[in-house]
Amino acid sequence: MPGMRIESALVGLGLVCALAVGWPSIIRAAEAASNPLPDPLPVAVVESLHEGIIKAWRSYAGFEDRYRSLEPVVGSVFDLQAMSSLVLGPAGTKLDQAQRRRFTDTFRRLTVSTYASRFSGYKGERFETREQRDLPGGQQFVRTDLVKQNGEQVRLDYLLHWRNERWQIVNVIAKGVSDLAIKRSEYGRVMRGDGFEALIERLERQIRDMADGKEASRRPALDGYARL
Amino acid sequence: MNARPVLERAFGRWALNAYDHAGWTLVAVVLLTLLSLLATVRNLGVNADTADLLSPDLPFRKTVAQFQTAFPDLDDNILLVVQAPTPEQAEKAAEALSNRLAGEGSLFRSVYYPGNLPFFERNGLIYRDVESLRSLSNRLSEAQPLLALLLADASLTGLFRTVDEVLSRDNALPPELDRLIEELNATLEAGLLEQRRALSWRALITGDSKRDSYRQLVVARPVLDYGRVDAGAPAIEAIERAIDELGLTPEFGVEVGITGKVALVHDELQTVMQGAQFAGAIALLLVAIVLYAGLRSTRLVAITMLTLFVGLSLTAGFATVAIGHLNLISVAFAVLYVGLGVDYVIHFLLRYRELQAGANEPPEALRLTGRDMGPSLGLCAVSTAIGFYAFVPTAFVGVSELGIIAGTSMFISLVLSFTLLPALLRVFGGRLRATTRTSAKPPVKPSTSSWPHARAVVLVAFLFASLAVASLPYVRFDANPLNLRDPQSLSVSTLNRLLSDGETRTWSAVALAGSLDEARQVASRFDRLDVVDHAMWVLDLVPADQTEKLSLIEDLQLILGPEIVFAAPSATDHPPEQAIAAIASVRDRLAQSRTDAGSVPALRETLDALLAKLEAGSPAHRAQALEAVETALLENFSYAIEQIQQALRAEPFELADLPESLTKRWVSDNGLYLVEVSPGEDIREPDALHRFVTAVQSVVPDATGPPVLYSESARAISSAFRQALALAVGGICVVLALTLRRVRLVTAVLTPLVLGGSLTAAAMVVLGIPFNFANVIALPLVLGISVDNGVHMMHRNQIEGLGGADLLRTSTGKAVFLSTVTTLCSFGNLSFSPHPGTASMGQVLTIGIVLTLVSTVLVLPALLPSQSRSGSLAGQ
Repeated sequence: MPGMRIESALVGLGLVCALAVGWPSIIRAAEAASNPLPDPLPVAVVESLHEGIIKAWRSYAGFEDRYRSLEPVVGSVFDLQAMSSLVLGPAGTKLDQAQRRRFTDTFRRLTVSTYASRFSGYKGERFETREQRDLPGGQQFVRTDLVKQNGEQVRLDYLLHWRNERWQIVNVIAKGVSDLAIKRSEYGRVMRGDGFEALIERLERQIRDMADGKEASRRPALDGYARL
Repeated sequence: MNARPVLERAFGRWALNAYDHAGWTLVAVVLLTLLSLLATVRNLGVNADTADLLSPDLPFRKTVAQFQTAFPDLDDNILLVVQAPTPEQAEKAAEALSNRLAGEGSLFRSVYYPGNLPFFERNGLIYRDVESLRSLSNRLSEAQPLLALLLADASLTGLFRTVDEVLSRDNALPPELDRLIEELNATLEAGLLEQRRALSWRALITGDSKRDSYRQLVVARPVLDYGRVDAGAPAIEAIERAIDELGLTPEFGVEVGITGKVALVHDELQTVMQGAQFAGAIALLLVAIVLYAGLRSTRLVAITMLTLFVGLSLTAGFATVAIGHLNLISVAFAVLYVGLGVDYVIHFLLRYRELQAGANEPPEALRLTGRDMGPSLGLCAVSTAIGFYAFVPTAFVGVSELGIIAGTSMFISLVLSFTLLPALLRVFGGRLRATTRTSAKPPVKPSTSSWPHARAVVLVAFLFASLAVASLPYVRFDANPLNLRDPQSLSVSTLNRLLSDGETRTWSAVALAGSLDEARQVASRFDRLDVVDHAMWVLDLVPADQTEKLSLIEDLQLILGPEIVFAAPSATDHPPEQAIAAIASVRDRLAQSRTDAGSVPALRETLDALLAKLEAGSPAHRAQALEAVETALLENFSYAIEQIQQALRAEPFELADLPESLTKRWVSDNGLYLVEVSPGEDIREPDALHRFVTAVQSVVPDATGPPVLYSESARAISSAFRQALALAVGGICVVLALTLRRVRLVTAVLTPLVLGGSLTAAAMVVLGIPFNFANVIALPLVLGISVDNGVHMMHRNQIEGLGGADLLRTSTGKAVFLSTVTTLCSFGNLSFSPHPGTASMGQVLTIGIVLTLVSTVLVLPALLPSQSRSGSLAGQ
């Protein structure tokens, strides 16, 4: 029937148009259909961090060993590039390429050191994932608790965004307090007061202190962990 | 052949006829008066629109009309200025007020409060510049830990636990806490003093520089009923009710100022009325007292007042028939009538009594009074009426309508003096007893000596006149209508405060552009002017650098975390002991801390006082006190959080995305673009106003807006006055020349006029009183009075040949004096009106009348010939 032909022609035309205009989204939709959520899931990213922490925490008595064990997992689950620029804030816009690279590297080592320093002396603690939530703006929110042996729970939330073709952690929120916010305030003050070199020096000192097993300075990263 | 004897006989017969047929005359007058009153009450409207005081054909009024059609929401507004000690209180108050008024649809066409638009709530951050957005995001990052902890438990206990926790992190006080400590202290301190002061979480969080008072503007466009004198009254009363019922009063820390065109007019009418009623009553009383002092007869005073009342009623009736409404200026006709109309009666009565004292029986005395007074009173009526009618052809509609009414009222007064007065004298009069010494004397005989030192007087007068004329260039005209209004009234004080605080947008000029491109060009040309602060147009509502700002906002979402971006604050219920424990813990920590920085010691003391007060009270009292503290500290918290959350949801937008309620204030339905030009200096200064308007007009010749309006009105009014003055002086000269036919006499009559007028202007220069829209009305009046005085003196001189001091001793001299004093009484007390415009009118009139009287009394006799005219008074 002629009507039928016209209809199928229209469908064909529509497909062509859709392919021409929206093929990337179609491909993504197809991917999504075969795999309901992009891989790895935000929850999986957070849980791989937690597994890494527990493994290092339980397995190694020395800072150096924990550091080595945590370095790859921290490097892959965190978007350290984005975190560096967020943490520097407006002050960072004045830095050159080399300075920014240097800061990102220092920041990475600081983050790994912090985990390596805080999670020493394992006493049967475990992480429990509570929920995962879509946030407007394409971000993902994963809410977890660190459960101590006595049952006491410390809330740890993670904020993830889709970068570099995967979900990456961009902020850690311990008991509601944002790690990025605290660091940004602190670093901003140092940058404004004493400049970039002083900031790097200060972070390096924190890293050294943590490596030496000293109590990290009073207002360090991951404040929430400090209160464990 | 001279027309004078014919005229004299006619007036004599007229007065005699009225006397002979007193009954019928009275019946006719009473009927006419009643008819006139009835017509007035039923049909005389009031047009209280100040704009209509000037001709709608003036070019600048056409521009205004065009602007009003294009942007109806921007005209005839009431501007509500909400002030509060915190931004939250100001906003909540403005919101409550605008919602309430918007609900009263029958009284308000529209209520515009931009803060209430979801668009601005969502996109407020985009309107900040990049730099301020950066520092705001720094502040927010710093506040994040505090907000996060507080969000989890936004109770009094939660707050103090949070403060305790944040303080515990370091021995040194973190800098971001300075402001919190300071605000906590200020709020608690106020609470202890029973003052209402809520902590502003927004000011705290955003770190915007602290101010004593925060302001929000609400623009209400009322439904105006021009049938009422006070068209805006229902709307203003509704606003006052709303303010009262919503508790937006200083008692609750909020203050609402009501200003804008409608409120200014409303307040002006209130003060004018208040002043006018008082002045009217005082004027009548004073006139009665002065009349009694001059006439020494209750009967004559009663007759005069009765004639005055009838004259007023008939004039009102005439106004109803001829014009149909009164305007803000022509309502003054009553005062003018009291001041001028009574003069005719006084002249008539005094001459009548003088003749009676000269042994003339009433009918004959009346005929003679009519004969003697007719021509001069007629001439007075004509010349004074010319002074008023001179305004009719000008563009100053307000005064031109007054001119028609007041000019005609001079003839009404004349007619009544020759009709009602003789009839009343017959009914109530009988023979008048001479009561005063002067009138008991027989008529003055021509004295041989003329006015002493006549030459010296003329010389001195000439000198003064020259000096006065030399000062004329320094006469100023103040076009600012704000200066006419009571500075104590709410609308004026509110506006003045806005202008002093640099809110010049309330007094900006506006220009219309036909296209977006034209608007852009015009705005940038305005921006280049020195006297312009800035020019605003619709694209200013679409901020630049949106991508950069939005990426800053996105970063902020990540930094603050989802709790702050999305979650609603929750509060746990704590028993009072926990709250007190938390407060005590903070107090202890502050006591241990070695820092004495900022407000730490003060907060320590305040917390001590608070804890002592809590301990002292009963449990019920304690719970109540804690609740009050909690309210003061936290009532703004959720509101501030909500606003931040809203603001973090900003999205990019362009012109088409702006809400219609906003764009229609900048782009009209017929595609005209509004460019608003704010002055860079305080244009309440006349020179600054002139500079600003000239500059604005150099870019867009038909720009409008209040500054242009004021300066163009001033120009229109002063040109109307020049035109009217020329017409009046010219007309009076012609009439005098035609009737007097002798240069010397015309000069004699005009001299007090010119001398008095120029001396008045000079006195205003010396006293620093500028002419303004209100007091210029004094000029035609002074003109009328001085012509009257001149004519009477001259006429008496012509009748009896009396000159110099003798002339002053006649009934005419006395009548001139008495009528001037009554006029002084009716106008002089206007000087004490609470309305500065009215008061300055009173001052100018007082100065003018006194100087005119002095000129008449001192100079005129010296100019008149002092030999007797042939065929002098027959009855003597």
